[in-house]
Amino acid sequence: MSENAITRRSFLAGSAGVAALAAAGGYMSFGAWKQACADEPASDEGSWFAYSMCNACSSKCGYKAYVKRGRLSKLIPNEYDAHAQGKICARGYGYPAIVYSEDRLTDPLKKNDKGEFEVISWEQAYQEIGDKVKAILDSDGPQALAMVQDPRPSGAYYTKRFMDALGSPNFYTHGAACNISKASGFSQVIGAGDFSADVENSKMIMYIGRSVADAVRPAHLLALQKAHDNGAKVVMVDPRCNNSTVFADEWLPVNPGTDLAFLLAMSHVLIRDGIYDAAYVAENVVGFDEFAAGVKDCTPAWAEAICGIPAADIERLAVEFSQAAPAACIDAGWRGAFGNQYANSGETARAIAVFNTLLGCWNQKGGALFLPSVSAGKLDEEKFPAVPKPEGKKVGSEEYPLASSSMGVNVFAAQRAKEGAIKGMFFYNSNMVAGYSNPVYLQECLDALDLCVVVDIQMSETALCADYVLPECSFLERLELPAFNGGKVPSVSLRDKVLDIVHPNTKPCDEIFTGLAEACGVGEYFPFTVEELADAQLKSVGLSLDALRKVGTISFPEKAFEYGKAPKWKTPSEKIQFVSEACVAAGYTPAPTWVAPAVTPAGGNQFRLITGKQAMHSHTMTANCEPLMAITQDYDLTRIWMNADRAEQLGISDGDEVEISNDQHTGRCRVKVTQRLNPTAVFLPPAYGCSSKDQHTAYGIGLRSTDFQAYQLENGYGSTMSHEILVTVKKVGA
Amino acid sequence: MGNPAVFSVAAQCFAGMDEAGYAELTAPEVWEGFVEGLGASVEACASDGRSGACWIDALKTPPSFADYDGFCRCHFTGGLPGSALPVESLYRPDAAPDAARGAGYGAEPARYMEELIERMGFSLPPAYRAWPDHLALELDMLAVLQRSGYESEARSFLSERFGWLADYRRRLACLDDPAAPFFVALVDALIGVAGGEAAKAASVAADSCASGDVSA
Repeated sequence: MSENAITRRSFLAGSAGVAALAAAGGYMSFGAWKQACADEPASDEGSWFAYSMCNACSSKCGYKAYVKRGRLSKLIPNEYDAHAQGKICARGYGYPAIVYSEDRLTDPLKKNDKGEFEVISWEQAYQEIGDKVKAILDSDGPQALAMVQDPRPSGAYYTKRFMDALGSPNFYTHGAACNISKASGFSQVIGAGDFSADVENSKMIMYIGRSVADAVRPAHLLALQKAHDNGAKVVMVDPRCNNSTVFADEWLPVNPGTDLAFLLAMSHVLIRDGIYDAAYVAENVVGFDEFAAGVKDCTPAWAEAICGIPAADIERLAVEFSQAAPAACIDAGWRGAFGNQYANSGETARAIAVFNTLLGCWNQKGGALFLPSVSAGKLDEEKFPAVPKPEGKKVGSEEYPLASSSMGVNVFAAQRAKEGAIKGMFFYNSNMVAGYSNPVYLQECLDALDLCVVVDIQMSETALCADYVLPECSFLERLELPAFNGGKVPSVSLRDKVLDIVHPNTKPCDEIFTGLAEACGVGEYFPFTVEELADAQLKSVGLSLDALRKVGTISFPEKAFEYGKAPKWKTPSEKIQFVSEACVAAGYTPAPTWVAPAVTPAGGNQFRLITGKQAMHSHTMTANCEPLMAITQDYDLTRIWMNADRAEQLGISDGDEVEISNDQHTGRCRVKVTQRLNPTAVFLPPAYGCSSKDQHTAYGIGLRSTDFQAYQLENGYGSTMSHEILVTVKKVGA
Repeated sequence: MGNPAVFSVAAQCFAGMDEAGYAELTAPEVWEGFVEGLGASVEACASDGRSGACWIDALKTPPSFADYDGFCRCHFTGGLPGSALPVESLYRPDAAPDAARGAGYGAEPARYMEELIERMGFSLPPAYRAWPDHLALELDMLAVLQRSGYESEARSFLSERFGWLADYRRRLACLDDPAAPFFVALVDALIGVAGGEAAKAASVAADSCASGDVSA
């Protein structure tokens, strides 16, 4: 074969051909290179670092990431970061492996006529998506577009701004499948979606369905440890004896879905015996009499029959709470038992806010606190032009009027897609199909769309439904906007760019949404870079991007929390509302009373299916991470938990393979027989059951609770009621 | 070991090309020479002097540009069930003894290639930043070494770097795509070249040991 211009082309030596290789003396065989690497002493020499934040869950714990020869070499937790406090969890250490995963998406993809994805250029992707968005806007208006995102510092800003620019109010978080009932229920009572238990100073703290040792934020776990060490009474109310129970004085294996009865009965005792903070209630509360009348019959004996906690324990705990108050409270939880699980989750959240009020513990040392935060101030409008607020109401806001307006009912937007009202949906960092509710139903919803765009780093089950998949670079390859953290001393932390972009055809979300905005004809709202915006936000609070880059976290001591300061109640009455007109309008009683869960297991081989957290996984997003899945495999963590007494009745032994079945799904897995579980439930570990073959590590491992879950929404609040599932369990081969 | 032009052309096939580039490369005068040269390379490397060239027929007529381009768009990308990126790190098992699959991007072969490219005064092309151990670059490095007269280094590189192609061939063979047989044949030929060279190197090493020459 003759050499010519075509056949001499070289990627390394350029297209002009190859001259004699002057540096061939630098050739080193692979064997010699490996030996040289092995001989090199381990040291930080030649390395540098940047501050970043973990992305394996929503906590965003800060760390210092060291880079040597272009690769991540070491992670050191940032002791000044509000969430890390010098620690990160297994997820934090394992998740960076995602950077080099073979399952990373490397190019923009479009689904072709055969239903297969193929590579297209960014230009083509932007052009085609932009044309389709404009067509939807012309034919159906901005109400026909929706965005679902799981908030991250840049993602939350850019996705919201993008939808605002398009004029669509249909902007959703993952909340309906996480903590919407909690936030919405609290809001009805105290006008705020969350509060923070002053755990480390508490004399008595109760967790309901929450395990800070499983859903790890190191700061929370450290606080619990301090409370335990300080002699606080720690009570864990959870159908499962979770891993935080090592710090607890008591575990109450409540019947799942009945926490509300337990709370109403404890409130009954406080009021009946006059051991609540009457002065605080008189000064701050609207609707106490209605609430008191409603719980008059909610005796501990009544509650015992429902929740399974002995009446004597309910009596005793209520008294202990009153004795510990105001340095006592029920923790706010996160997703736990009342974030989105049951038909009564929102009302359970209301009851918790009411109970804490009866203790008079708001903003008291050891009680329940409203911690300050700092946010970016006003920016230069010429550089960062204001986007007009979209007109119209968010889809779902009328059907689910109690739902937090900042979260919205995401799956209802999907339902409206199936019904033809929503034509185009965008997803950022959101795996709705696998993680939010019934995957088959949600897939049908997305299939009905004219346009489905997913921005992700790997092919999630939601991305599989997309017309276009836009590949984001990983969290370690991008600078994000500063994250402002509330706290006793509020602070701001930074996710800086640690690594050069590994796959050159991936982009950070700020560039992706800026490109989409330009293609959709609203690029005038994005005339800035993420660096410029981050710096401007920080300058608005007296800092700068350069300053934050040097330390990773900066606190605002001048904004520190002060005990005893009366909160401003952002309720209609500007007081704590034990009664709510909005709840009445949604079909609930004015003050929280008993609402039964939607389903009740009949016994025999029927159970309620519940799920929760394991310390190394966060829903579907970490399952495809090899080091974290290795922990799952090493410790056999995909097994379903079953109460030992029930297992014996059914002839099921530890390690047996069982078939779990209901009208939605049937699946098999092995069983962990344990006394650490309420007998009415089986506990299915989260994160597993991936059905995307593109995720080589996660695919086909374990079962997924959403497969057994019907598409259903909590009245008024709009949560997905993820524990309202009945299944039958039988031993395979029996 | 063969003509460096053969490895350059093969490299371009795995790199993905636009229509004009593909037309140039597959023009009969170039392509016939390539297939002939590839056969000669296999023969030259084969320890028994035979090509075993059942792959030649599949290479004689390259796929249409539409089929070639369709293959590249569907398979030379990451994260899909049909992904078949020709990247060594994805096919070299990790150091862990039970690792069934490759180590992910950026494993030892990538770090080696990155450093080798730098040591030899080249720049890693931006499009290959994620995969310095892409087959196109490895073949290109081989051609560069040959053209520069570094035959011994080229032989060392050839015998060390292409052992993963058998696994990669298995991956390609699973693909339901009209252009898959073309790429399978191309890899078969490369396995012939690299396998023959590796066998020769092993034979030389064995002879050296048998004769007590420990300096090899």
